[in-house]
Amino acid sequence: MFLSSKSKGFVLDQGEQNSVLARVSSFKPPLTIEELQEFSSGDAAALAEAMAALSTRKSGNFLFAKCAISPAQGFIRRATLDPKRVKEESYLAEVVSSQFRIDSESNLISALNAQDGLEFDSTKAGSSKDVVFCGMPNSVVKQTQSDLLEKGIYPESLELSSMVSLGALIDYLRYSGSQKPTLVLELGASNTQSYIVSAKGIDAVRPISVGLEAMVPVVQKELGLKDEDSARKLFFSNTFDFTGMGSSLCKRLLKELQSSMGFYEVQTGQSISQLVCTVLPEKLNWLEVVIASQLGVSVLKPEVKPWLNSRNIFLAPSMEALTLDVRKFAVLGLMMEFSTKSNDASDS
Amino acid sequence: MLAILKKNKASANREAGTPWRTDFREVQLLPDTKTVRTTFMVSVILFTILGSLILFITFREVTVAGLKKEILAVEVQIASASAPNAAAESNYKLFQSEEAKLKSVQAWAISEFSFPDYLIHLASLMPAGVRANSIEFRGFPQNILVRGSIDGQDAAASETASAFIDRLQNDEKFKKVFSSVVNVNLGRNAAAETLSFELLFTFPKPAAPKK
Repeated sequence: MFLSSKSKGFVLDQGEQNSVLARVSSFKPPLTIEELQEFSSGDAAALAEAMAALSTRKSGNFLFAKCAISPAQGFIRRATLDPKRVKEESYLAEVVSSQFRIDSESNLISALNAQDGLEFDSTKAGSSKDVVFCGMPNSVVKQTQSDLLEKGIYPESLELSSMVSLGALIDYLRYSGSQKPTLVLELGASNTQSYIVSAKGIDAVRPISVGLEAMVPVVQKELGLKDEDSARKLFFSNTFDFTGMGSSLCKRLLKELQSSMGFYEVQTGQSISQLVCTVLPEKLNWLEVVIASQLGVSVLKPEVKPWLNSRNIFLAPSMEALTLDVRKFAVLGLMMEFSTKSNDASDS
Repeated sequence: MLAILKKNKASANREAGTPWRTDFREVQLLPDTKTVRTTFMVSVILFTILGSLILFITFREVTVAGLKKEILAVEVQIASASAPNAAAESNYKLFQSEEAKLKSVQAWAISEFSFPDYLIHLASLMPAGVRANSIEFRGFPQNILVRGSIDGQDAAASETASAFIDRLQNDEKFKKVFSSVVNVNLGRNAAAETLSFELLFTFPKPAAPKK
């Protein structure tokens, strides 16, 4: 129709390590995932190749896509607000500045209710005092938009990959009827983001300044290698079975995680029984199992397809063989419209 | 800057009603990708409506101007035809009165009434002692006035007069011709020792002329 909106769209998740570009029949459910390609983040040629493969756009035309990014300066923090001060105009800026040392002038920040994920509204009676702040520097937004446009991608939205991924995970827990608090890890190169989520929302957020790079010296030491570069190559190549030295590699990380879990369990009286790594290089998948076993929890293996179908998202026949795991929750989350219900297992 | 404090900014949390979703775009920095702007479409629609309205009004004005010309022409025609029309009307009235007369004469001519026959029949009905002194025919379709006298002034003369009048009134021939036969005057003539009478024979009124 003359004034109708674009019927087909694209969804792009530029994660820290991997990116996913998918072509969908519509931007909103019900929709069908028609094509999906995965490639390394930062590989401009691979992105251009995927765009060419998935779209038939003419040169000069934009590819309209809902986008999620994982900038190094992006952040997600959780805070408990003072109910007496929430109506003060500068209170939220003061919280992000004093508690998280985040400059509210140079960053674009959004505040969401930690329970239902809706935009925090201090004027609303009975609004949550537990708030999740998420955002990124203004300069990153501008640069990302500029980069995307340069590559021929018009962002229909620009979100934080981690936030969408957490939203999708919470939605999955609600769908599955699980009441278990789940430890979510984003294992980055220099740091790790840990979250404790449940069907009731985001219960805890903690950045840990220990990443995958911190394991390289341990590999070097354990294997008696001469330099760190060789150790790094070996570690990330998955040509050697590191499972045996898993506990040594993750020692510092495990210490931090045990501390977080202990604090959470004491605070809430609930024990964390499952873990999932939403950001982790594919070749280091074994780390997830090692960390889970060291923490004495199981690895969450979500049944993605029934969940997607319940959210009116379907796979094209050619995509039936596609492996959908928790690493793709960000791209899947971009396709969804999350519910605010705390438990909709009965819906499924 | 806190997005939540920039409600008026297009980029700030556009999907605020959707949980866990925040759109961080700086929309004002993005290029305009709409081939046809909504404002342009609105303008096109408004201009189309305006054009149609102008065309409609122009067409109506042209039609009104044409009708005015026709009205003027008809008025001139009416003015020029009014004098002959008045003459025709007076002629028609004259014609109507003449027609009435003609119809009266025609009715007279074709009626069954014959004055000589009337006189003979009247005479035949007169009993002895009754005389007709004058018979005044006042024109068709008015009436005939018969003045006469009856010998004697006694009761027998009165009875004769009554019988005579009854006879005239019940006569079949007269019934066909006259609507009524009435004695309009009855008096005594002492000098002549007679009873004088006046009988009015009235013709029926002719039917109104058809217009």
